[in-house]
Amino acid sequence: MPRPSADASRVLDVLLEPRARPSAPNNRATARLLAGCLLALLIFFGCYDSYMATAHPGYTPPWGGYLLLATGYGLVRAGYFSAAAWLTVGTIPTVAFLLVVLGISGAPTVTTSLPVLAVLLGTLLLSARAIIGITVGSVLAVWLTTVVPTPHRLTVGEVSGSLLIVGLGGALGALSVTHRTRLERDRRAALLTQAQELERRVQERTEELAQTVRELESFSYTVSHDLRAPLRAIEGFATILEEDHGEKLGAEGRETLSVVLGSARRMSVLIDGLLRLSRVARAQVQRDEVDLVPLARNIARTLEVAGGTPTDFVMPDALVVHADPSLVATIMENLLGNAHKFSRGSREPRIELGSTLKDGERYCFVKDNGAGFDMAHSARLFRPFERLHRQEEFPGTGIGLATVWRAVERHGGHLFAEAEPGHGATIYFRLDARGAAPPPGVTAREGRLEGLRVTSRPG
Amino acid sequence: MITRRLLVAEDDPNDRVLIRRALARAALADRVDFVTDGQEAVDFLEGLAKTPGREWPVVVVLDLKMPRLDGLEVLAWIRRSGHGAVPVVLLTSSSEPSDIRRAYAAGANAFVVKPSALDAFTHAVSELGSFWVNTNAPPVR
Repeated sequence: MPRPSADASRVLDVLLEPRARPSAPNNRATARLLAGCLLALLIFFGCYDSYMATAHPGYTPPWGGYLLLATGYGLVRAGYFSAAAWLTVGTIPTVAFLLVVLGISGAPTVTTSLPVLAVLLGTLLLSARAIIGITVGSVLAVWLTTVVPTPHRLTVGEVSGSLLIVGLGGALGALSVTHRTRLERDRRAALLTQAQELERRVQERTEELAQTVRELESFSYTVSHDLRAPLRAIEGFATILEEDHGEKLGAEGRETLSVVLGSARRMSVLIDGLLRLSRVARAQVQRDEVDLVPLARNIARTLEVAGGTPTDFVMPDALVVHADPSLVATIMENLLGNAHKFSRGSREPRIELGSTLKDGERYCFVKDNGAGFDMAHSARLFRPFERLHRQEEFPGTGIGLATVWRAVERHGGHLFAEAEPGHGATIYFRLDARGAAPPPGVTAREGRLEGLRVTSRPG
Repeated sequence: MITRRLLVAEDDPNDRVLIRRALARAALADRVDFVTDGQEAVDFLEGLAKTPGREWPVVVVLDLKMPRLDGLEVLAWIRRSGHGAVPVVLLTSSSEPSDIRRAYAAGANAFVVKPSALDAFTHAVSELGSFWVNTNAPPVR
């Protein structure tokens, strides 16, 4: 139980706090008012009546007093009573007096110890302005008793009785407000603490994220600058060795050298792929209207030059998406490059670009009739460095589709694959930011790049 | 016959060998001066400027990341110093878009990423040479 002085100051706070009085009281406020009235009536009806019944035989219940009591309580309880409103407390006794004069109320003399105690408590808890209001109202009421004609004149005690009842109602209301306020404050304090905790955590995460981005940037810088230099030396000098001293090396020596060269080249390709992936991961998406078809035509031409069986490219007249042009280029290069690589061995290689509805959403797709893959492994498809085919069959780094996935993710889009071994594969993607979801089978554990990820998972 | 002189600032000795080999193969310049960091490049150009009648390089090739002064700082110095609008090519390992942006903002004439394959490297060097040395008209001093 908190100390009364603390309660008193809280009530003072509540009373002096400029309360916004609802311009149009809603049903809830009205219900609370009525509930407050009913409660006050129930509490005091028995207490007051039992006293009066013993002290004054033939006593008539003072209905007007109850009404005022309930009004005082209900108004405060419903939150209509501000410090300014408490001034009306002074006028309520006047109304009480009038009610008594008009004979609506029994106008009893009330001097029981209980209401006195309650009013004292109420006075203690009330604001200075409220006390002034009550005093002014009392003086006015007492003065009025002297004006009223004798048969109806009330004793000072009777007027005080009405006053006490109203004061008691107000005090009870104030107490309940105190309680409610305390609950509210505790709740607000808890919420505030929670909000501060959240805020702190968000800041921490943001800092961590910024740190990760910085690390990633310095990482990719190191990769591009410091790892490439020795690699270039390995490759360059191995080539010089091959060109200038190849004959002295003999067949076995040249064979060994070609392994060195091949590995260096492969590492170079890996580094380039890694850099592209990290760049895509950091990219800012700047959307524009992009037609995939001319883009795909250009890429197809480049792929055709690369050789192999002539591929049949099937495309619509136009396929416009609202997406980042450079990320879209990365997506198309990788998807068409993959489709070309895996269908090159087919009898009649065919690559189709188009759009279709899947689960009510419009998806673009790149479909080939190449090697395909077993859908059981589809979860690994979009993870970096994961490959579903042997290096000798289809060379690659395993970064391409991871880059595509990241590019789609940067848009807040979605992609997935459908495939069958020997019957080709189709990659579906959409780049609009609605209801983004990770591709099937890809969980939070994405792969070895996990520690370097800078973006949170969609969905 | 005009002497075609090239200045190359490159701190990596291996890259210097590769660049020298590539330039020799492309038969671009009559004379290639190598310096090993940015400060040396500045000193070299200042020395040239003080010596009347000396041949000015037709193109300056700078590595991006070098000790003391880096490529961008040398580039800024060249543009600031009034030593002419000599074409400056950045030949570097970095393909970071931020590096490329900063290089052009500092007044670079070209940004060439060093390929790791020797063939491609030779090709890149001879390409940049054939444009900047043979095609491009050097600034009149």
